[in-house]
Amino acid sequence: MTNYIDTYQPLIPYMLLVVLALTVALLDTVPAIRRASILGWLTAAAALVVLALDATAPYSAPWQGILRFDGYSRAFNAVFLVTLAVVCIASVSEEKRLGFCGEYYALLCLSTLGLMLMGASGGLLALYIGLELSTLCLFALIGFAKRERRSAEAALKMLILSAVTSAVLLYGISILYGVLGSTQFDQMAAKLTTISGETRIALWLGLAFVIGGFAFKIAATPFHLWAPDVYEGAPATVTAFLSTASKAGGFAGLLRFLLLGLGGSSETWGVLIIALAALSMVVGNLVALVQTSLKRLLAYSGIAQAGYVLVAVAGASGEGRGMSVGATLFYLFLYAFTNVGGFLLAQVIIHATGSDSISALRGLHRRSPMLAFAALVTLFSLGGIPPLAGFVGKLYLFAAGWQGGQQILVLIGALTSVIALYYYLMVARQVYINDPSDDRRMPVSRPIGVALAVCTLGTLVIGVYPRPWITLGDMAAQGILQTPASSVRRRPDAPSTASHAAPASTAQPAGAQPALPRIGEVCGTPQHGNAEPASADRSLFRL
Amino acid sequence: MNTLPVQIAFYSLAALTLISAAYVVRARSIIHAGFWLLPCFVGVAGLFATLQAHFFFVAQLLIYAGAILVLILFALMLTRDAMSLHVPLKSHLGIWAGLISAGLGISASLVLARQSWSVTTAHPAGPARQAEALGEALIGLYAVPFEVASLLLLSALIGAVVLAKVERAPAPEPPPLADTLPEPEETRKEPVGVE
Amino acid sequence: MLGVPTEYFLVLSGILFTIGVIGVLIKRNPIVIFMCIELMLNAVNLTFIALGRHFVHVNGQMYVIFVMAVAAAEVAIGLGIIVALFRSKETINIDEVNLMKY
Repeated sequence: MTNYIDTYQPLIPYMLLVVLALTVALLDTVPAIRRASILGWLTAAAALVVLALDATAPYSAPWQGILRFDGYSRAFNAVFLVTLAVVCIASVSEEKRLGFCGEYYALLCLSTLGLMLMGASGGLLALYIGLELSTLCLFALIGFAKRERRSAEAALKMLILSAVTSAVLLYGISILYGVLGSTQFDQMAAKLTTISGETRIALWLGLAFVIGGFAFKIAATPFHLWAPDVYEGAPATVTAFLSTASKAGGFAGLLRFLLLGLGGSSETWGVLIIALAALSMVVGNLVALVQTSLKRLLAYSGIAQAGYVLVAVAGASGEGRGMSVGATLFYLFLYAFTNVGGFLLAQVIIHATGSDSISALRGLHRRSPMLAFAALVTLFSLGGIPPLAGFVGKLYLFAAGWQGGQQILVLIGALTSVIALYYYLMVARQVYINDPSDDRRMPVSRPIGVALAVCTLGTLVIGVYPRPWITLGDMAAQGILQTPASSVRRRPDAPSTASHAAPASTAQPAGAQPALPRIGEVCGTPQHGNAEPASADRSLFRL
Repeated sequence: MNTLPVQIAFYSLAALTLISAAYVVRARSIIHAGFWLLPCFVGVAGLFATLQAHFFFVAQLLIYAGAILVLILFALMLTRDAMSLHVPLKSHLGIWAGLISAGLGISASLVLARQSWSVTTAHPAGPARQAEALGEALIGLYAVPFEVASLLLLSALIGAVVLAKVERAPAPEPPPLADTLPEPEETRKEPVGVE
Repeated sequence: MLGVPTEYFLVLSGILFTIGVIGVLIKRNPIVIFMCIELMLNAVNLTFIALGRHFVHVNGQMYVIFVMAVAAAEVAIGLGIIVALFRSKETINIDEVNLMKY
């Protein structure tokens, strides 16, 4: 009985998030609560409770490993939930403008749930459904400021482009299913070693399609065209979520797929990731140079940052996997603080001046010194200037890439970082050197102020004292490094792992048993995830 | 078992599907494109039947030919000039893109075709057994994805209602310090049905 | 044997998918692009059902259920967005919604 509880306990945070979404949507119908504007604070607090529950849940892999709750999923959940909390706090001052705040928070929670499922997926099916859940909620969120035509247009653009990519992703999954016979990561990895000859071509084709689908989600270069327009049109708080949590979700799924599903050898996918990384860094940074809108500048800088993270992903092969996963997670964690801060600043500026052009920042330090400081920290962290989090993170990413044998990519990254420094410094110059055209203080509402303070402090603290956050990355790395070995060892009889799985030694591989028990015969047996032998998968679900 | 009727069914359904799909893309009028979707969906449903996926034969008819097509036609009716409009090609760039993707798609299907698929000897079970296996899988092994699919539909519903709902008067521009001022009572109607 | 080998279905769905991709690339009207996406999804479903029969296992068919749910959800949201868009400016032609601005 303890087995049973331990196996399913990690699901509780996920269920709680669903309950939270529904509760928030219901509470919104109570006029007193709506007037008090507490839903955002409530959601943020509940997100932190979910985070605490998730951090204390045991590791397990229920349902024969369809979901994997391990250090990896836990570390990524921290990224998603912290982002959710900060974005919810910042959204409190937007409630009146957007309307429907209950639905707004409910959709944010459900989107986060989708991302968490991506991080915890043990196969392409759970990954796909998590991806769709997170993206689908984002469509509605992007179009939430529906009085503005740009917002609805951005939503339509995102919807169509994302539906096309998800169809391509699915076609890729179907090819992989055809070639490998399964879409569960451990079974795929096992089958991969037997692939040879012409089948490889089909494998590469499917792989390219699937990686393309992920590249859309993380906005890496050939698939980045949606990002600037959507970031610009969506409400700034949604953009903050989209550019950090959603991107982190894409990386969470991508790394699961590449490292678990493809067995940790970059031989099959290395070239694709290298191309994506190089293109993203070059295109993102060069196009960012000519931007005049703050949101578009951040969008292109986000594309370039995705490129930097892909450098580490490209180096994730063989022994370097752990370091790459750790670096990726660490960077995404700090990036959540930094970039959310950036978009919240853009929101404050747009609110105060009605324009999101970079020149609206002129002389910010005379008008609002605190805001100017937050802007400085954000920009320097994005640019990777030493005392701040971005520097440590980028160093870690490039070190992981270098160790993984991607020296050329690291050089491209270093060179483009210098270009990037130019445009970040140009913005900083507007903030600190140029004279303001108008001396009034920038009004900052309290919730956005709190959220900005959290982001700035986070960026500073991670930069000055990175050790505990690097440990978070190591936890993720352990989660992903331990899984393949253990599942390979256990696969014949219990891939459902969970160190305390009941011995299911009576089971035999399906192929060895001509007279398979058909459904009628095994119908009576209870099927509780890990107590069940793997071969039941083959026999029970035969058609 | 005589395979000839199955083969005849396959080829005629394949022709139906591909020809109507080509007409969806070729049609000059949006409405015609919408109507060509119907034979295409029905053709795919028929192909499911030749694959002995009985449940999906019905589901395809109900969901695609029934629900999705109707929703798409609704969207058409809601946009202006739908009846008279003809759909212009994007540009010659689009045609190049089309040619490239055609090349890619055809090479993809060739790769898949040349792959040596081991011959299956097993027969799929009857409709009842298949539905049973599917149901068992849905509430057993795939319980979480199944529940998540329901959340997906829920969020689509919420999103569609929020986006499509009419707001009469545009709300006044919020004061800069929204939380320090008395807030105007915002009037909100109850949602009146989906779309 | 069932008369028609699996690869025939795969080639058929590959062609159907390609038709959908071509439509997505050469059409400008978002609703028509949507129809072409449905063609692509149908091709994917056909692949999964054919492979599911090939492997005699339910996990291929499982995808089809989820694809259908996702397709229905996407169309519902899409309809909501189109309604919102046309309410904001009724005179606008849908072709003017610029999908690919750099």
